[in-house]
Amino acid sequence: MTTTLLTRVKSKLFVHARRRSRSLLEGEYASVFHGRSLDYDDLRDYVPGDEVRDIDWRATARHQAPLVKRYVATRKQNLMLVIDTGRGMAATTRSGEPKKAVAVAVAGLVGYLAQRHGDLVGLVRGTAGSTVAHDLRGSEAHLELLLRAVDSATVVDGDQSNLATQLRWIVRNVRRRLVLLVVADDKELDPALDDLLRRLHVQHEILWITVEDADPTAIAGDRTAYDVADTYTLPTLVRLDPKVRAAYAASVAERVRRTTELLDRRGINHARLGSSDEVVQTVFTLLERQRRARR
Amino acid sequence: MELNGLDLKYPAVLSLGVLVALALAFAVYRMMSSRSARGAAAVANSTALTELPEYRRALFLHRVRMAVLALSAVLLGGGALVGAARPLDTAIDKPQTRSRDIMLCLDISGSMAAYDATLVATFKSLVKSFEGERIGLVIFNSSAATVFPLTDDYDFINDELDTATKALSGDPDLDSFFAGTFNGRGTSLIGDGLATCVSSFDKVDLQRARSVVFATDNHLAGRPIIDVDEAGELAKAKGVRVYGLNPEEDGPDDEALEMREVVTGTGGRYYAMSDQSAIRGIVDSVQAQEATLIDAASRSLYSDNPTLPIALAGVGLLGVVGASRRWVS
Repeated sequence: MTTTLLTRVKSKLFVHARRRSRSLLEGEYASVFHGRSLDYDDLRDYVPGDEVRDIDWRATARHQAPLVKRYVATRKQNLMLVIDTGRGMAATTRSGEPKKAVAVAVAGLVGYLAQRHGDLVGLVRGTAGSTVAHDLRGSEAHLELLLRAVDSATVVDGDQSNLATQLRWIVRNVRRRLVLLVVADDKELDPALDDLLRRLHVQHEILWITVEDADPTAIAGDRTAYDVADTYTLPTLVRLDPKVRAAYAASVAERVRRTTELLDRRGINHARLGSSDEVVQTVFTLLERQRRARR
Repeated sequence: MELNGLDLKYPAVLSLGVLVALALAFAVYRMMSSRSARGAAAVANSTALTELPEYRRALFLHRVRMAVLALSAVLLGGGALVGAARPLDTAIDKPQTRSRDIMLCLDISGSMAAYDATLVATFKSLVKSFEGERIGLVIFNSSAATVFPLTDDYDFINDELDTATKALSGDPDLDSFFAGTFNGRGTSLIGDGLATCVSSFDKVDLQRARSVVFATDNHLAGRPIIDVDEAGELAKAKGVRVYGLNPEEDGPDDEALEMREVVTGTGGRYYAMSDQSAIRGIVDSVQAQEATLIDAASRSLYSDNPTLPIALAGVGLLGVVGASRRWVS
């Protein structure tokens, strides 16, 4: 591998840096996950995304630009990446990339932001049959290791997906409070999962990312489409039928509505992703919403 | 003639075509599978799509369409191949059936007028018993006239005999039928008539079985150029057998006896018209006695018969066009 996975994540961030979204994101992350202690540390320049109430108005008055008070964080956050590595995640997503590329991009970005702020990043990954947990650590190398583990574990001939297995593992094995970034397959959320979410939400803070499936009725006719679950090839003429396409679009919209409803009811902040190019913008929106919800 | 069913002029085209078609099908299959291996998109959770009733309906229609397409393609390809191999109808022709010539010789004099229609009917049933023999008809009164020369066109022969029946039954529109039979001295010149009949055979240099069916009462009324005995000698000299058919109005009279003598003298036979076995007897003796003269070489006749494969290929083409056409939805 010529470039590391984390480098790719960072490059995504730097592409957006022209729009100052990098610092924007960092400010956003800081204000979401860092509580204010009373231990005042120093002042720094205001970046969009900072809390307005953190602005030191006295210092700003003596200065040309707004200044923000920086506090010493009281405690480190623990970010746990919860990532489905079933074979469903090796399939293609809306943009044509493998879904795991999107998963790695979003996990890498949030993990990078956390690591930059001195937080610890861990990983719980697995399939319907097995779960693998990685330690919480704070180094960039560790994050790279986690991303590679996700990338290499997700293969087309792997096990089937079932995120409930990983969530149940967390319920059983994790005692301390975590920030969970769940990267899920694009599936119907069943009642068992709903129950797990209810229990997890009490203890942890949850961010939910659904990686969209590619629309089989929109894949061009010169390619065949097959399901990774059973390698069944969808007949090209059938999946491109306009009636089938319309019915599928309606059923997807209905499923998204149900999922949204369920997660909203549980108070879980969530977003759908179909391309690694949308990751920065989506994470920003997600954090923004998280900040609003907590205030 | 004997029909042997479908034969192919170029059977190699068929076997070669099947081989080429198989190779082509295999190549297309390889191409498609390699293309799908290169351009396959893996998707997950497609049950959300495959469980839709719209999808199931579309899938069913798709399968029906593929089945129709495959069947039509096979029909079209098979029909085209069989057509290209040129299916033939083989008929084995037996030329010996054409080696016999039979001249029907009818006396239309006044004394015979009452029997002529019956005699023509007898001729007709006689014609039915033959197959492939050349048959001609000569009528005579004071002179003889050929109604039709020797031919094996049986439709034509039957038409002519029908016309003869009508004319002999007194149809005024058909007076011309008798044209050329009143040119001699007197009426009913039997010897002249027989001599004309015997001389009416063509291809005299070929050795063929020649017979005359001679229907007369042998009642002479005039002065013939040659008499019946001389005509009999002529027939004998030419190798022509004469079969006599006599109405025998007055029973076996002197004339009848004379006729029997002449007729049997040529190797033929004599029958009274009322004799039920006459037709069978003539046919049997014509076929039995003269079978030895027959040339044995037989040949096959071939004629193209492309109707069935072309029709099937047409049906297949319709199916292919219909099934590959995008269905309006």
